[in-house]
Amino acid sequence: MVEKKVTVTNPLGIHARPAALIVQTADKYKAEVRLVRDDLEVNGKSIMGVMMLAAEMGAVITIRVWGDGELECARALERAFAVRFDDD
Amino acid sequence: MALNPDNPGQSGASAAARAHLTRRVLRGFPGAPGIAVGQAFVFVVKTPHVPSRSIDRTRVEAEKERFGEALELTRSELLALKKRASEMVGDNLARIFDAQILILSDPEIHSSVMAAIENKNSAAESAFDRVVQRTLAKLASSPDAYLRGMRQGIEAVRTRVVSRLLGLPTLGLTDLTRPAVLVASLLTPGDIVGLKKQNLLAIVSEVGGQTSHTTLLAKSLNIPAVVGVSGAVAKIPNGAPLVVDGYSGSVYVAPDAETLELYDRKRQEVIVPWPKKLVALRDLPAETSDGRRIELLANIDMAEETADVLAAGAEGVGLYRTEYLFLRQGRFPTENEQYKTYRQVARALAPRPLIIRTFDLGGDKYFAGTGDSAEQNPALGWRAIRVSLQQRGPFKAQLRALLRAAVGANIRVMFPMIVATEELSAALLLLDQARRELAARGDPVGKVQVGVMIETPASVWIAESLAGMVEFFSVGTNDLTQYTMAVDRGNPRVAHLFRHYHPAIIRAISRTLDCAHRNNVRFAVCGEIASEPQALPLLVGLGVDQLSVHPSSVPRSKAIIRELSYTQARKLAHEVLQLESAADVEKKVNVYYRDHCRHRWR
Repeated sequence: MVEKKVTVTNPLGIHARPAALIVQTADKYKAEVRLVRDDLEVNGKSIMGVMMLAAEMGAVITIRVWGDGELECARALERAFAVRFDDD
Repeated sequence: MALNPDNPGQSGASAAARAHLTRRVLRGFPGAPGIAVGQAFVFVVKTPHVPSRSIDRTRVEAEKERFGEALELTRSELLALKKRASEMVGDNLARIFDAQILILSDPEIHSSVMAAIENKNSAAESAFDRVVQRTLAKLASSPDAYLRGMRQGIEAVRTRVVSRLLGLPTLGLTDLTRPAVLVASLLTPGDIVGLKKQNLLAIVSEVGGQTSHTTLLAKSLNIPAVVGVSGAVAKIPNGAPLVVDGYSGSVYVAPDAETLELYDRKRQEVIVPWPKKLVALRDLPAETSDGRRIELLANIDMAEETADVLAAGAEGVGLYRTEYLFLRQGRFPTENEQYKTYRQVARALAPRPLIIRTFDLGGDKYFAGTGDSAEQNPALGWRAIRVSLQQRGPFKAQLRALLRAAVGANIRVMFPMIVATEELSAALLLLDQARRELAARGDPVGKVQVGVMIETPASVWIAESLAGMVEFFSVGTNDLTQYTMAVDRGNPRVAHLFRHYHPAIIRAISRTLDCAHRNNVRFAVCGEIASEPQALPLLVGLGVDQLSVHPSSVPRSKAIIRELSYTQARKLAHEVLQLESAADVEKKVNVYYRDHCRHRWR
């Protein structure tokens, strides 16, 4: 299992667009993905789950990935969290 | 659902259609600009009700498979819509479908539904509906605005999947087999994208702000949209004729002939795109090569067009047709309502002049009960200044609004359809009364120059007297031609007789121009003829001081004028005045244009 801690840098938090990117990234890999924030754990491939995290800017999320391609997946997700969108 | 007034046996929607269509104006917010004329297609969304249903234990596996299939088919549907959206309007909006596709593919939702089918013998649609309702409930209580915004996407997915599982027809918007104005309570991008583009004339919706997906789509499709029309679905009968004014956010239900004509004309306006090289002319004057200066202004119908006037490099507004202001309200607008609009336009144009034409519509619509019955001949009837002089209260309200707006601004007023000096005297008297009323109220009173429209044969023949009373003349060649040639241009049998190059019209212009100049009165032409490139040498040669054209024609007109020699144009005018037929005039004018205007501006 690979575990990484990330901080949300997007000023508007994880709203619809970043959530979509996170899920689409996770979907590319066979590995299982969980995102944990405080005591709330969600399935990283579930759009509803990721949005329920309601992670605002500054929130610290733990990414847990296990299975095929877990390392690449974790890295890709780390990058996804770092992307700042053109929020209109 | 077609209108069928001849079949009394039909009930429901047809009965409503057969009932007298109430003429009304509905107000909303402008979502996307433009004008559309067409029949209403009222689309009522039915959110499927999902009964709680159980299945037989033996059918569980089959039911799971049925659910899986429904998801797959919906997924394909959404992918197809996304592709269409991309092609129609670009990738940005297509992303709306991404969100829906992700919801559809959500593994948590999927496993919850499968579990419910397996463990509780739920039918697929019942299980799915329950899971979705739970999710929606969780979202509703979220403090996050974006999460709450996801509702629409989830509702859309729910409707599609549930409809498929229940065997209900999905949405039914493929029923738009003829061009129509789509009227609905709420429209999702999915609804719009699924339609045949050429059949969608405009959108009218009850819900929706000016930045919603609906308005963005409408803008990309170049069709007008009016949103926030409260009660639209109840108030607009299916099949009713509509005019949609996306500039002001007005919807006219069962508009009368005059409204229809005015808007149809506006809709068909030919907007001439400018070649890039004309942009350079914007700040240059409309002056002939030998120094004759023409004032080049623009005609507008709506305040929203002011920006176009400035962008085109016009020197002001030569004709502000106030009709649309009246039409949009559906009633005579108050003094304050008019004041605000006139002031807004005047300020945007300052220090350039704004020439406002007073009320120019038929009176029956606004002053009901004042006549015995519908007029047989409205063009020759109770309209324009005739109405104003009999409805002094409202007329003075318009005058006061003008006078107030003229404070610190450059506003001129002109009276339409004048046929007698008594009319002009009466109007000037009322203008004076309006001034005194404002002074008595303690309101500041602006200065306005006064002019008359020369658009009736009578005004041409008494031009000398009229010239002594005003500061400018403006020729409305459209009406002048109709009244002089005794022709209804809308009548296909005789429309060919409507020719503003007919010697009668050219001589009328020349004659009134001479009267004007003898009396130190400025002379303008604001009719359609001024917008025709080949007419410019003639008009300039006759000696006009000012031309007012459609904003999009300004750059081209300026380019032509700058290439003209006034001396030669005068010679042309002199020769044209000797001709006896419209055909001869047209030929001469076209030849001159061909030979002397080097750059052909199409």
